[in-house]
Amino acid sequence: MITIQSKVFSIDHVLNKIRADKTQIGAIVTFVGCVRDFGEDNEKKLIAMEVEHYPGMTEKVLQDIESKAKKRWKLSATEIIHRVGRLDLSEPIVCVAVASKHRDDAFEAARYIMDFLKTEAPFWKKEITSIGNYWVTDKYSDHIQKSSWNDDIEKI
Amino acid sequence: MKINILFFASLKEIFGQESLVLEIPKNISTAHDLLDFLAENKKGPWLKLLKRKSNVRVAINQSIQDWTKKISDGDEIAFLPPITGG
Repeated sequence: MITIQSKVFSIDHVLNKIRADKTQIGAIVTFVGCVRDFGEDNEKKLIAMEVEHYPGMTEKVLQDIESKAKKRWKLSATEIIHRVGRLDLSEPIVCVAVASKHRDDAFEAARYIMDFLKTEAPFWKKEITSIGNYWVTDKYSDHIQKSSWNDDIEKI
Repeated sequence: MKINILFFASLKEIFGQESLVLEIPKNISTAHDLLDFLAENKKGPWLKLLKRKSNVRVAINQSIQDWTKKISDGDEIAFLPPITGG
């Protein structure tokens, strides 16, 4: 399930939701991305983060990533939550939770979903700092990581 | 033909608006042609966008496409700066 929201989410809530009424689940892997207090250059001190997205397209892309992961691994359930708007330091930005019978499927699928989310889902982060605000630039390493899955998700 | 254009993040700031509706000549057939046409005719932020084209992706009707993809009347065309979610 895909959720885009501005309010903070709780991991407990995500875990309860993903395992609700599913007694065959043997493994749940969760990834949570948080707002750091330092910028991309490791120097700027952040005050907050702002996240913008493309409503409509974001959900479509995330649903496509989720359904490709479900085809590739045996998954019992997935939850993808991404926040938008202004986020304070240490707050969670994104959560990807993947449930499966056995851990390998959940570990690999969680990484796959995050690798594609970071490079394909239309979100943009802006660092709010004491010396100005800066749009985050994309990282070459994220694109390499996505390519390593050898899976074309450009066309949805 | 009429197209709806959307801007996000840094491009929204460069253009000072998040969307606009444009009437363009029928002979403009691809996203690449569209950007060339607008940079030549409207200049300003369109020239900046053209310069950054290698770092910008185009989405047509909410799906990322090649710049050579055909565009049609009524399309929603979004210019996407490098994606940085997660």
